[in-house]
Amino acid sequence: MNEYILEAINITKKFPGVVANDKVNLSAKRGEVLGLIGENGAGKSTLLGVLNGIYHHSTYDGELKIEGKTIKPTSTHDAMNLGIGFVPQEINVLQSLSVAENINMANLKGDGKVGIVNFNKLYAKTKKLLDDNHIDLDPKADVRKLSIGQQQMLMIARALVTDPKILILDEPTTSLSNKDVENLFAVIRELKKKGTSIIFVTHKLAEILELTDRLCILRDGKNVGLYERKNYDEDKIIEGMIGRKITTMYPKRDVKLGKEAFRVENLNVDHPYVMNKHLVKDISFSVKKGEVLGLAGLVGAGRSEVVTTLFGVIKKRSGKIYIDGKEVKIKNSSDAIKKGMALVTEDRKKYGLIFIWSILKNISISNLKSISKLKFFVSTKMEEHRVKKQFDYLKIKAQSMKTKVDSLSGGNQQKVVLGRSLNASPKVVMLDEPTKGIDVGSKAEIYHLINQLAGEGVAVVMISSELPELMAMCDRFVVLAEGRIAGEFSGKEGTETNIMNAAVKTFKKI
Amino acid sequence: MQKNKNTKRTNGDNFFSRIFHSPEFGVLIPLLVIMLITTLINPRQFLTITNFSTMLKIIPFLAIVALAETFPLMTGNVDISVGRVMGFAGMVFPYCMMVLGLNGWISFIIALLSGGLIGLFNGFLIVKLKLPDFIATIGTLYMAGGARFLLTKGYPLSPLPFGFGKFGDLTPLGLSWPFLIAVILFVVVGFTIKKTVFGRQLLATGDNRAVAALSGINVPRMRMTAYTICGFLVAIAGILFTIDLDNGVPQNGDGWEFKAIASCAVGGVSLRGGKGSALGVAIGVLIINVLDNSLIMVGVPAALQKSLTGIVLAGAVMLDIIKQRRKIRA
Amino acid sequence: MQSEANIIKANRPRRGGIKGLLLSPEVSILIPLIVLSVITGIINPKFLSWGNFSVILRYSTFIGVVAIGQAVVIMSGEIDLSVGANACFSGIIFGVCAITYDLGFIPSALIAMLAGGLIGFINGYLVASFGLVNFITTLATMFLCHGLAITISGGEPIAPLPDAYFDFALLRPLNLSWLFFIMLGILIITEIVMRFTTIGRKVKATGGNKEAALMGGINIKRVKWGAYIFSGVLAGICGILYAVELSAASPESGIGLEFRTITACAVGGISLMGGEGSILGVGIGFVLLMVLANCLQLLKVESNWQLVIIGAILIGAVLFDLAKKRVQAKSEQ
Repeated sequence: MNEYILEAINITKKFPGVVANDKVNLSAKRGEVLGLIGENGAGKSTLLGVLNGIYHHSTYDGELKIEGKTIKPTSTHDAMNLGIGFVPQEINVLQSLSVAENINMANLKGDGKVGIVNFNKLYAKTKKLLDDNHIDLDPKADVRKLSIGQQQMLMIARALVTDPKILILDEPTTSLSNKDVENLFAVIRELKKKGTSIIFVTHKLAEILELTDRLCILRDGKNVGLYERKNYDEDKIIEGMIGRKITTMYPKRDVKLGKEAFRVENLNVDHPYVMNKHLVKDISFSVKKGEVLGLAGLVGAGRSEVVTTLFGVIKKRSGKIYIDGKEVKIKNSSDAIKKGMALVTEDRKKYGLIFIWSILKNISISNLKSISKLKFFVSTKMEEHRVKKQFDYLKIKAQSMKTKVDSLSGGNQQKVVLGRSLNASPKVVMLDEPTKGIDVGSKAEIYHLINQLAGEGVAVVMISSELPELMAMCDRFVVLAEGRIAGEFSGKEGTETNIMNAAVKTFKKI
Repeated sequence: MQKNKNTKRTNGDNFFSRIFHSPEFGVLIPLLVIMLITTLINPRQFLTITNFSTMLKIIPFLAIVALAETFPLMTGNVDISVGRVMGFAGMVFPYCMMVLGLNGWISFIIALLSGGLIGLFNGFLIVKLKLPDFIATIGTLYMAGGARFLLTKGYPLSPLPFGFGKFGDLTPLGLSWPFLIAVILFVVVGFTIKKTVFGRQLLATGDNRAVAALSGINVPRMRMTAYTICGFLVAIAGILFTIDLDNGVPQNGDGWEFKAIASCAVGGVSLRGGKGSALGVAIGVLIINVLDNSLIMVGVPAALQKSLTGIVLAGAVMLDIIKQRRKIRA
Repeated sequence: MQSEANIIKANRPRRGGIKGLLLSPEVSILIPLIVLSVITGIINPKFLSWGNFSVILRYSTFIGVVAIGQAVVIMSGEIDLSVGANACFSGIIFGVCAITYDLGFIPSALIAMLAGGLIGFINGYLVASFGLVNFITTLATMFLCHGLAITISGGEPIAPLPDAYFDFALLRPLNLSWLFFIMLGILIITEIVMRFTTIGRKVKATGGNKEAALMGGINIKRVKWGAYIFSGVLAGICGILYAVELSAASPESGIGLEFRTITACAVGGISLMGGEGSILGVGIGFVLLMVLANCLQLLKVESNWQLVIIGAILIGAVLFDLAKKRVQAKSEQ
């Protein structure tokens, strides 16, 4: 059994309302690169959490083995000591310290004198580690001055300090340029030669084909396929990722399209902290009255960034917006709402609601003009009258409109956010993951509401990581990948296969 | 394997290039510029020994307070109470000796502890009870501020017994002894920040709490320790100042917190945390004080100095923010 | 449901009826005030006379005006440490205009208010647009103002102001002063605006959760900027009132006010995290502080104890607010 460095056997992990991992099996051989792929919600993150020790071993069923011996990790430190190295997705380093200190922060003492850092030894030790792994970094370098690709290498070196038997990389190429990806692959190949196992999590098909020896596909929390490199077949892989069980009945609607309600031309958004990098590039699309446009793509493709920028919250470098055929200037969210746009975000805690306030006040805030006499004095009568419309329309379940929103369920909170948007009588409603984290009953209600909105002539743009949901609710699809448009499909063309094919596209040449 | 030229260039092993690129050098330049301009405008009054020695008289005490402030700042917090706590400790010391009749060394230790305990209290409020840092330290600022006067109902205490007062007249090696003690403290703290595990961990805590925690650092304990050290150092400054004046003055410390923060900001200590250099702070203290002096030399009314220090503080912090917003290379 | 109908019928933004009144934050701060007053009255019956109490109210005018501005800034999620020095600075400007340049009351007052508003404008720009930390910014403007005040006045009070001003200040309607009623007027107007108008909603939304307010279409930059300018103008008014009361524009007046206003707000029910509170509560808050000062005086307690006690009260009030929020969050889960 020594062929396998890591074995995860029948891992089952549940969260309230969902089985994230259902008897998942994973095994990594010595000196191989095992790819792990799956669309949003397939269970990748949960599995990684099990492997890297974020989840205590008692919180899931199943067995973990390293080199044949059963292990029971209790924490991330424990997992690290057991030989599992993990490089998370977000680049997170200590900017003001040197490369060597970043890599060795967990063990600065080393064998130096009590409490004093022997920098010469530290640099030498680090240089050796970097050279052994063919990572090109200067141990003395100031991390702030490193490029994003170099910072990614730094995170890998940090994980290698404990000489792990298996290294897990979670979507490592998200922020990297072509050259950086080349470097990364070279380092990984050197690690392979040394006998380290590598689990490489990605959604980019091209990387799977280029780098991995075997591929494990997850879907709906289960294993759906394990392929050897010699049997790699793009179509089969895509097929494995899609085809989720449809447990929800999606309401039908009569599609009645009107004139063009909303058009975006050449939207470009710069990356906030990496030079010469884009978050969104050359995005153009249009939506008609009564149409539901699906903005598809995998996590990190730039969908949320697109709608948040259109709403005026993120600054754009260039791009034009047209509402009802006329160009509008959107400088901030206030402009956006006045011009008839609405955005319902995914993070209710941060962006959605003012938790110390009531349902009433949260909804009315988007249109204070309409409930004020002389545009100044808020009339509680008008407020209650107007909000009651939304309250009833959305069927918000609460004791009264005066109930504080922090006591509501997730589904009802989402309705309040939606209510706030609708209160401003928008012409365009953008929904970012409208049913995330919501119970099944409330989901169905929200689907009905979306259909109703479209039926009333509102143009709807919808983002959802659940492909079946997106396909059932939307009339047309624009697929994003790496911040760019990777595909556009209308009606029947919008099959899961087509959408997924576009979503895993890479614009960089490897 | 592609060699990345850029990293090699910015951190050349060349001794001179290391100095040129160090953050402290960047702070030194404004100091030299100010001194140069002042010399050009009013050389006769500025470039005298009396002028410089007058400047140097009060700098050591202010410098120690600024040094103390560095600790909370490095961990990403602030302590506005430093001035009053300095004054408080400076009153506790003579109070113990003259009113309580205690031994000189015991009084010294009690005064030291008074500062340290207040620092610990600040740390507790901010880290454990999660009070916003400036609110908590404004509270202790006023509590310590009032307490300074309560010990002696507002009267100063002098002269100091046990010959402490005469201590103030000594000039070891031709320099004033407070200056020497300040230098020693700066060297010790500078060494701690740059070379010890504790110092590096302190910087890590301020730089990125999440990464620091993942590296096994006890982040809450670090932050509280920073406040406690600040309290102790500030107490030292207060005690030394009292000895130097041979007089325990309750008003001591008013406005010092502001100069301390300004010195740190100018000296390269980022208010976000994660950056700190004793040498930088030393130069920052010099800049603030030389600036005050220069303004007088140039003919600016003394009262306006306060305003200008305010502008310098805002400017230094703005500059720091602009630097932080610079993008990383792709 | 019966209760729902009752609530919707009541024409108030908060719970109506006697129960609502008793649970309101204003009442909860009123109780300590009453208790403190009773205790003080027992210690020294002279306290409970209108003659004494009216003096307390009269003296609360100055901290009151500034506390109102501070309250609005805090409700918008920020803080203003420059209010005291701003009042001093604006007062000096008023004195210069009225005495040195003999411009007459209204022009001098307008210029002084403009000066205060300008400081607020600078604060607003640095905090809302540039993103500088609020307490560093206002600390810096505090020193800017103080320095300017001393420089312009030369360290000496500018006096005397025309007799007409002083005579006005001396009038004692109900044994109070017209200056007090001006403050009261500002307080009531501000409370009305904060409670019943769209502006108030916007400020509270910004303080409550600025990202949510942003998503709701509120221009938070404008709100914060406006709050700081308002605070600045009120500091200007305070400076004018001080000058009229003392018949001199002094470079000492107003120094130290910022701390007391923050405490008055914390005690008066304004959460220092922003988003909630009432100006009336703040009013009771600063009256409470004045009563406390008076009480300590009557007890012949050294004035420096005041500083210690107020510092402790500030910390205590904020801790209490934090604890309340934590309990609320837990009970809702």
